[in-house]
Amino acid sequence: MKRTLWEQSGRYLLPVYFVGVLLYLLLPLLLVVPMSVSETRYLKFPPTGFTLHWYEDFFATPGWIEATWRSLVIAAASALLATVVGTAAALVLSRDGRAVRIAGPIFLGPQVVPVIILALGTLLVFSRFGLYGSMGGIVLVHAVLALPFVTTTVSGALRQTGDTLARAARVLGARPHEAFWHVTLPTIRPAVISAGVFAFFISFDELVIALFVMGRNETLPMRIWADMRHDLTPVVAAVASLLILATFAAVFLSDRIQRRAARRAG
Amino acid sequence: MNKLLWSLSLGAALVGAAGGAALAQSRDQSIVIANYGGAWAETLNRICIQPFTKETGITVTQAATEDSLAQIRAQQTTKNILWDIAPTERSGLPVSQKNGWLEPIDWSVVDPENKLPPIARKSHAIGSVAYSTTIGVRMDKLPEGKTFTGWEDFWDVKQFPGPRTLRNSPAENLEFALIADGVKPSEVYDVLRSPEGVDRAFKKLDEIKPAITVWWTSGQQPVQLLASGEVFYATAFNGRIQQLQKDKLPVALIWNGGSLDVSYYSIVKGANNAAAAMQFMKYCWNEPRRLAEIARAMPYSSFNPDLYKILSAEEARQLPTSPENMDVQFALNAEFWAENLPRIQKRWETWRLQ
Amino acid sequence: MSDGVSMPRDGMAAARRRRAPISSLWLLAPAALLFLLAFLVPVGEVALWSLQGDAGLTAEHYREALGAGPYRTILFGTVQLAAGVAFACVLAGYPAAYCLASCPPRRRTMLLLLILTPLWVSVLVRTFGWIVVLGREGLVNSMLIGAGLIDAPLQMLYSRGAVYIAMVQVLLPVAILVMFSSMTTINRSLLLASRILGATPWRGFLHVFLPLSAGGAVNAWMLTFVLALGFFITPALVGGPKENMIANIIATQITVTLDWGLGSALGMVLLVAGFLMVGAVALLFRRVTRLSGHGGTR
Repeated sequence: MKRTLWEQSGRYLLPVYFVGVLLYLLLPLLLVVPMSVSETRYLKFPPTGFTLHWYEDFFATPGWIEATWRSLVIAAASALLATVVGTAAALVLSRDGRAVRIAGPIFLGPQVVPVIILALGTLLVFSRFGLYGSMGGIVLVHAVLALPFVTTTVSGALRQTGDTLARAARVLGARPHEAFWHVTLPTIRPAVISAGVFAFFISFDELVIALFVMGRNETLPMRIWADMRHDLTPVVAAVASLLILATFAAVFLSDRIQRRAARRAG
Repeated sequence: MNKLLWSLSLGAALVGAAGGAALAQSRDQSIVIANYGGAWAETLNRICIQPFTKETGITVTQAATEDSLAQIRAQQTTKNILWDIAPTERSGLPVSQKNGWLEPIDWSVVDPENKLPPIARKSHAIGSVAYSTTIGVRMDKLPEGKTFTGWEDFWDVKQFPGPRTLRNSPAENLEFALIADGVKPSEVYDVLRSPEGVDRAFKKLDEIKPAITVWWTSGQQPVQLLASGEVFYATAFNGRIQQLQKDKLPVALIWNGGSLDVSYYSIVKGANNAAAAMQFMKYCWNEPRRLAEIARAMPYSSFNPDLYKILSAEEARQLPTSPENMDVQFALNAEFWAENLPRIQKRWETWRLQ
Repeated sequence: MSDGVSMPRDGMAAARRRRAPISSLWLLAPAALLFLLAFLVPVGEVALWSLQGDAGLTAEHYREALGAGPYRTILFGTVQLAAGVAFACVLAGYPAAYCLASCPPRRRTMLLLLILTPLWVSVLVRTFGWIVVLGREGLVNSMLIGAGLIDAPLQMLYSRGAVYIAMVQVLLPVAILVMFSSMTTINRSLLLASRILGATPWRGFLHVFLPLSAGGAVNAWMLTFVLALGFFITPALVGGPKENMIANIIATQITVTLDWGLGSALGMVLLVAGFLMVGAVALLFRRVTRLSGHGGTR
């Protein structure tokens, strides 16, 4: 087949575009890292001086460390909860046309309601049931915030893959959960993972509800917000840089692992 | 699959129960202070809370909050009181006082020697420290040979051209507008209370509106704007501007016509340990030695005059309640705003959209 | 639509009803329970506030929220902005998601993680980052001036454009991920089939891939739209002096003026408005989503 001009240019245009998108997404990060070693307290470009003072500050202040751990734990727990519960719901939503039309948009609810409203309602409910300041309570609320992502993403993927294979597995004698585990789940894995990742970040960056109900158990966004209120220090940038570093390390590691696996398989 | 469902719901139930258990711990001889988190909380922790616990055996827990008024209301509505001491800034104090959400303060305990002036000695709150909303000026952007003195110059876009920023709130800005219009700082609330006072302030604000690039909402914003040269003139909390000066930025702080705001703390109605809470209030916010330490850590200062016996003249000049700075400012009138904010807020939103 | 992908649907649907592999309604139960406890109960509490007056039930708060005045204007502005931002996200994200989906799996993981890295940085900090980039003395302006392209700094911040740039940056990963995960499930052999049958790649894309991935795009729009509705920090930080989001107003009503009735009513109105928009879009694109629903494997 002769390659058309369109196809030819498409081969290069698309990756170039993708790099552009990546640059746009990563631009603020390119600023965060230099800011974390800058001597000035405000964002300035180009940064002046070099200091690791803000990193020291982060590790020396129990408040920062605790808040970071707390946020990571809450985010992981609520992501797990939302992903499991949401995937189960998606199994139904993807099969039943009527259920999806009614329940689909309803599950979007937690994201449509302005967070401040949910925060107020949560505060009232939590005070009533003694959940104020508890990790368990905020995990539930963050999970509900993430639910729309999980159901939309996973049920979308499920609808597209169809259930032919799962049905075949059932016919061949697999029990429902076996069919799900060995047949359905592998095909929708990217969707489930991306839903889980988003659930994680929704919780990790959530400020308003936490401010209302977390009280003495400060989360990372609460800590950042308080810092901005009184004296913003580049510690915020240092935390972010550390997390970014961890992500890049994860990228690198997973790449290495996959490469090795590929070599072994090949 | 049934098992999975069971374990899931069991898990959810456990998660909920764990939260309840955490709160059920014994409450005697402990108090909870709701506070803004971050550096302010850490300063208090170091200077007041740790020594207080050591001396009295009363444990003090800080709960981070930002919107204390809404939370006080929620706690009173659900009759589940979680705090002993809560911040009641701005209209927070008059509003919660009027609704009966606060305990009166026993001043014979908190201020037996009668040191605090009336502004810090309210029937239902102690003024812990004061901070000011002042003008920050980029000196390097100032026209050659001119000195910037206050609100009249802020409004004078011909003599002092350049972008500006104000807080997105009618409170304090209406006052600033009136001062720019020639009203004495001590008389702004008399004018605002008169029937045409608010109109006059909005009319004056019309003049400056085109020069406002952005209305700021969080405390760090105006500082960032000044530092990056985005605006030349800004209102900002005094501590923030002083921080810029420490960072060697050519920024001047204008106390003249500043709005002095008090950081009040109150004891909420039905508090578990009101007596210990009052003991703490005296210990932390009415002992000159500790107040001096607080003022050295952050440029916010108490009204207790003995504070200035401890601080050097150089240190005192940086503080919002030092006599020479206090004289040129006005104290933000929380009662006026508690009565009028809902009405004026709507007008403010409308005006901003015009 | 391409005839190549139409499937014998009716028989399948019947079979599905007879023996769905692993789906019974009780799989919905945990989600429904969570939804009830952590969403319906709190919001119900707030809904009560929106109807409570000094003396019993009242529609007063809704009258104030919807009547002529600043709130209605801001409400419309918010919905409009959110719809625009979501559209921009889908438009910008679609080619990126396509690119990701056609990557070899190994590189794909890496690129996905890169797309997700910005999420580690608080939205607040990212927004401040834009102030540095777009400001009068910021990165872009100093580069343009340095290159001699302009003499005076351009005013880029504090405009609608800046709001778009900052909000799309926050929401784009969501859009990309949602579209990507729906694209990965598209059966690529259909594209190959269209090529074998003589379609040009462009035609194959237009008639096979695009319709199959449109459902994901609609989903992505809906999600980013509802997320954008609740934004308030970003528009306040980089938007023009007249920029205001309804979430801002609600926050003021709840925490400052303590008018919970009005705040709650505004929240409920936004909720309903959001649902109406999402519902309308879902209905409008019903055919598209249904087509993707039969995603080409069957």
